[in-house]
Amino acid sequence: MFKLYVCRSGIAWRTLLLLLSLVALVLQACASATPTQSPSQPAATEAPATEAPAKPTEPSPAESKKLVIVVGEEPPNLDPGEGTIIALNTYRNTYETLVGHDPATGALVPELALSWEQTNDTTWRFHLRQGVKFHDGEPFNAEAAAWVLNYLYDPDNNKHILGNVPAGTHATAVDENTLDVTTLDTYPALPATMFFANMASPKSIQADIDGAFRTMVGTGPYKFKEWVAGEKLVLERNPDYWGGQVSDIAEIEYVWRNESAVRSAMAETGEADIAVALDPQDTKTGNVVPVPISETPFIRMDLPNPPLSDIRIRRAICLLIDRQNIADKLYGGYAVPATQLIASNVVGYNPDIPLIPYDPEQAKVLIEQARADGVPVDNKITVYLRSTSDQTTLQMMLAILAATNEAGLNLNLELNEPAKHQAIARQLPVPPDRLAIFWGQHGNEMQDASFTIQAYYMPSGIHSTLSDATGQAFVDLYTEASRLSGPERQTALAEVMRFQADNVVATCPIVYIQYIYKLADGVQFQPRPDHLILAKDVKFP
Amino acid sequence: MATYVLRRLFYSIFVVVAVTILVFLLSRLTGDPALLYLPETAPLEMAERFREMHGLNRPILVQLVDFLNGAIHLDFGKSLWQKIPASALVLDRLPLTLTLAFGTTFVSLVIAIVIGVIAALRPLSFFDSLTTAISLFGVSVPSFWLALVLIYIFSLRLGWLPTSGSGTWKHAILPLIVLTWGPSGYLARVVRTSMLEQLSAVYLTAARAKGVAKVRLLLRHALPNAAFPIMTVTSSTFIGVANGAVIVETVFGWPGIGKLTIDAIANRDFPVLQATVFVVGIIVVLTNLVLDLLYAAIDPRVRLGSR
Repeated sequence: MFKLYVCRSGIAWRTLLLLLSLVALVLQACASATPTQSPSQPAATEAPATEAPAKPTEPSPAESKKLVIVVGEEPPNLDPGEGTIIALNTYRNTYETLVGHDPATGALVPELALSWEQTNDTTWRFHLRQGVKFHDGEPFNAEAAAWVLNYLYDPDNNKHILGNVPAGTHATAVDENTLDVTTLDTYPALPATMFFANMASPKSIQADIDGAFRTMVGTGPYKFKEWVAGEKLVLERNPDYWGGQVSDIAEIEYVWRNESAVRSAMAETGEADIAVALDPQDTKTGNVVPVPISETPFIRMDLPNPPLSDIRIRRAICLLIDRQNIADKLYGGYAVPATQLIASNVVGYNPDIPLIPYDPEQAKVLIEQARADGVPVDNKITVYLRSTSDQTTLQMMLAILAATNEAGLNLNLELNEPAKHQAIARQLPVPPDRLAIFWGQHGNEMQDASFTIQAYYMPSGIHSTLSDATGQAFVDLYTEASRLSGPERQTALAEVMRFQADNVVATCPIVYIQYIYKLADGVQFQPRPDHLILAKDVKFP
Repeated sequence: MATYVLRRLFYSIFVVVAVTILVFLLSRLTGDPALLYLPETAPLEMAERFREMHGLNRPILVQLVDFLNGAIHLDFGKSLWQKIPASALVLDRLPLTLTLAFGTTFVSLVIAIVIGVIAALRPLSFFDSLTTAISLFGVSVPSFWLALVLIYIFSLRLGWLPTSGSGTWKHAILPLIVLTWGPSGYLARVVRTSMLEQLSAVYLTAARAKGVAKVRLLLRHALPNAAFPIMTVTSSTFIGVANGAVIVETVFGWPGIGKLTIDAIANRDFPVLQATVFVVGIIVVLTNLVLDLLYAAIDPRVRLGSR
């Protein structure tokens, strides 16, 4: 009967097919609802993020602690040559460097180098720590350090550190534990650059023929365990660490969430112990710990063409930035008005540079004076911003735009895709008809003003539009200062910064921002200005 | 049937190749990855070296020929950022995206059929109005907002589910709710409309007159005949999520194709972008092929061979 019905109507078998397709979808959905393993994922995965506080079972309670850190972005690779904040967040329990930072003062402190000195104008000598081994068992000595440095300095390898060391820098092993680094010209800031020179095992780099850097082999207290792309990076304690056991944390797990609100929620639920780089709006609840960092939002102005070529106009623009309001309203109080591009922990910071007040009346006076002198103040000035800029930046620039236009200038905002923005921002020399202002955020993690001055103020700087003719006095002052070291360097670079603020005004600093961390209940951690999150600094209840 | 399938597959190759070439050319117009990859303080010589290392300074036609040569062997080159083969990167993320795609499709379909059929049986009733309101709400709510609200309620306040991540079935629940929210509402409206049309058809009146049971009438007669538009919309839902549920993947830290694609676009990671488009293109083509086969299987009036 059923068969007859099927044949006649032709409807039942269609229903059957429809149901079958539904069942197929059910089966596929069920199959895919089980934990999916990517090829790189081992069968035995870690506990899910929600169970993070439970920690895997280990022999003793002290051994069982796992530190879960949620940061905004996954590192693209584990290349020791990466110099990004993501790398600083992620690398430094595994890779170590010759010099570190004192988190309180920012001063350089020994790490894998016990001491260093300048032996002549072009040579720095580093005395290395003895008895250190890489995680692969290879010895860390002057030969290894020289190999790594020369690898990082090799132009063919195109590593980030090349932006901070002069061409021709070369390392040589003098003996087992003595390393010389030479430059073609005097370079007192060289030790500061070592902060970004991660010491990876030469053997591991040589073995990584493709240069994919999917693992880390350093000398640090934690060694690489696994990296499940997109999901987590896990480190485990290095039992052979030269410094002994620095913490009772057995494992460190990094996870990545783009959204600040999600990172914040993870700390509050205990899925993560430390949430990094939160937005001010996510600080209303939980254990929030801010830290001042060397990051300064600012604007830089084209100098060659009028009206921006007139220093009165540039000063007027700086006077039209309501820094306190920006710090309070847009950064939720997690920022303070900035006097210069570098923060107080940077060599060359000048405490005597006064804060530029928010003074629209004075700005209008300067603009009118320029107008009276025939300066074309009505010329259109374009403010360039990345289209991917966050809301805080956009609102900040709109506020500055409104204030400057109210004061009599003609500023317009142009948003561009990051690639196009970069192409415009890096265009040098400035085209004859260009009048541009760029927003930027400057970080000086090497904590020496020379890096800032060279990039943003020197005529040869990649973000500088100062010409040799107009900036000769500035160039002379900096050239002299850049050759000094020690306390003299601090004084001389501070003078350069003052000269810039008084006589060049190529940039308007806006605020010093703070990095905001949130900690899970009971976790103790004092964040550092240099972005490092070291297990030794974390305490569990 | 076999001839039809082979012919469709043959044509599909051209579609995938054309789309991939188009993306190759368009992506080159969107800007230079060198300046994005390097730090702000990097000298321009480093940018030039980056272009040289990745062959980006060669004439575009040379790059295209090189790309096509590799693509034939499914080699799209190495990611400029991650330095591993782009195809491996995409295939690694594919299962997680397909998990969401199949899950969303299935849950949306079940919800839509139940709600849509009931609404069709009681047109203009309170339930029907409620369904309409829920559907409108579903398609109107931004997924970003909904995701954060769900995290707040179910993770932060109730502590029932993890906020984000992947690895267990619990991690999939919130992303699935967010992804299902909109399509199920829209699909429910499609089911309702389609069912209403069928329920007022003459053949059903005849069936009723013959005394066919109501459930049988509904499931064996009306629903299969209403299936065409439902299947079409369902396939669109599947393709939409399989293309990459960018917002959901970003908020929930779900490492699927969507997030990978957006990052590849933002970073001008051409090899990854090309590999993603290639894989997604194949998914779209195969989904449409399966849909056509289902059409033919359900309705004999659709003659595959004559197309």
